Amino acid sequence: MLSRLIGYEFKATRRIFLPAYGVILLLSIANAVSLFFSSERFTLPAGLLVTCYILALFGVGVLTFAYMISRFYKNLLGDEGYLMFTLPARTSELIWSKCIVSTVWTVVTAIVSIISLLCIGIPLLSAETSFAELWSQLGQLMSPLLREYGANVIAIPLEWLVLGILSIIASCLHIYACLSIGSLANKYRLGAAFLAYLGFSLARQTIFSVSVAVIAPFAPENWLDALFSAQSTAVQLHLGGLAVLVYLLISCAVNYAISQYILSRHLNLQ
Amino acid sequence: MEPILQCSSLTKRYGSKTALDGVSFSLERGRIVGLLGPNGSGKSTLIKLANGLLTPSAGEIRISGLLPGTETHAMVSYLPERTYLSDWMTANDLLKFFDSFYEDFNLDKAAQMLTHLGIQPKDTLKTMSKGTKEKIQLVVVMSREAELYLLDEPIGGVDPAARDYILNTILTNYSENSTVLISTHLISDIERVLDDVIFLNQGQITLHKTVDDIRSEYGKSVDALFREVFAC
Repeated sequence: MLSRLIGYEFKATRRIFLPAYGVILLLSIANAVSLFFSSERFTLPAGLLVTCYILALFGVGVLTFAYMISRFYKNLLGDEGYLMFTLPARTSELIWSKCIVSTVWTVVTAIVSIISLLCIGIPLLSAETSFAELWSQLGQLMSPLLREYGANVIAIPLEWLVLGILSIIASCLHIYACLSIGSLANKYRLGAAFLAYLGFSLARQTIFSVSVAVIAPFAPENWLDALFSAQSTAVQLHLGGLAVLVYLLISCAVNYAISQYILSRHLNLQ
Repeated sequence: MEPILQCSSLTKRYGSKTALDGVSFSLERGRIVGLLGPNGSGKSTLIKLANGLLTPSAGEIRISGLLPGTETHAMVSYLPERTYLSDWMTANDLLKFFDSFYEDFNLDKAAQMLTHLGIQPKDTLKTMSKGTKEKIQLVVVMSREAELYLLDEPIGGVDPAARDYILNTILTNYSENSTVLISTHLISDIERVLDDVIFLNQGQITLHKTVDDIRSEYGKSVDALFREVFAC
């Protein structure tokens, strides 16, 4: 059932995202052509094209974020929820289908943005230098790093890439938890969701401050510095990643549990 | 045999307002039941509770012995009082959607009904009138071979010709062993198709009888009795 829900979610959202990506890529190609062939780099048409590209890039970012909220709110908590919540699907499958598809679109938006930047950057660089030279410069940059850090040069960026994707999932689930709490209100549900968001921020800061105040008297002096300074940079980055991973997993679990509990036990579609 | 729908002391409150107040009744299989009551009597609330779209404040509701959930959704076909379809879909998308999610969906029957209505499969819902969307919604709901049909105001807000079409669609598409619960306040249009009626007033059941019993006991039609009971 989850795969069918994901398929439906992609179908519902791709008609918005694919044209938006097309616009970004077309604008980046137009910018590349304009900058590559223009003798003077800063003509008015070229400036307008760059402005359009930056605005489009910003717009797609906003669109991705707005869609994360609106799909959950409209498709599950609005009129369309009458259909979605009467499908023979579990609440968990409804939540995960939305979260997985939103995460995929966020990652694809990032990839398309990078590709579009490369579309502009590579022709400009290739005018200055050849690809072979660029490749050898990259090799020269990497070889001392590889000598010093070995496999960590690959492992650490991969770790942080995974953490980046997990942080998108955590953000999705956090927004869903706020919207689910907002759905408990009889009126002004989006306003209630925003209040829930503020409440979460306050609770997070309070828990952090109280934890520090409680733990600090018992912890050895400068234990954090001592822990980190004794390690190599690679180990420090691994430890940092581990701490972020634990935080993100707790955040995902708490926010998912809130949405799951409210939508399965206290659904209130009026 | 287990009743298809059973309510025990079912209560639903919205803040300080009580929409359903300790309702208890059961529905047998193979019946067409009218859930009748004035606006705000709790009809839609009862149907939403049966679909798990609302959670009871007290008591419980069971479908074929089960609390509303994934299993009951597979056996209940629900027509809400509002349009729940996504505007971006074409008529064909909607049929495929129902076909992929409901095992009891009869795709050929639905396609034939759309053809009969003159709706092109590639027409998007956005371009259709409210009445056409309501008909499409009825088509997909009645194209399921469900055990229980819960139809919330299926004839509310449509013209008399459309009412005939809707009632005919319901009558010719439900199977003998299924139960159909139709909520409405337009009784005269629907009386001829009903086996049983439930009168709901201010969240409480005031009458639950067969149509034949009402006619023999009170010597009047359901519509006449309704007007008498709910006279302002």
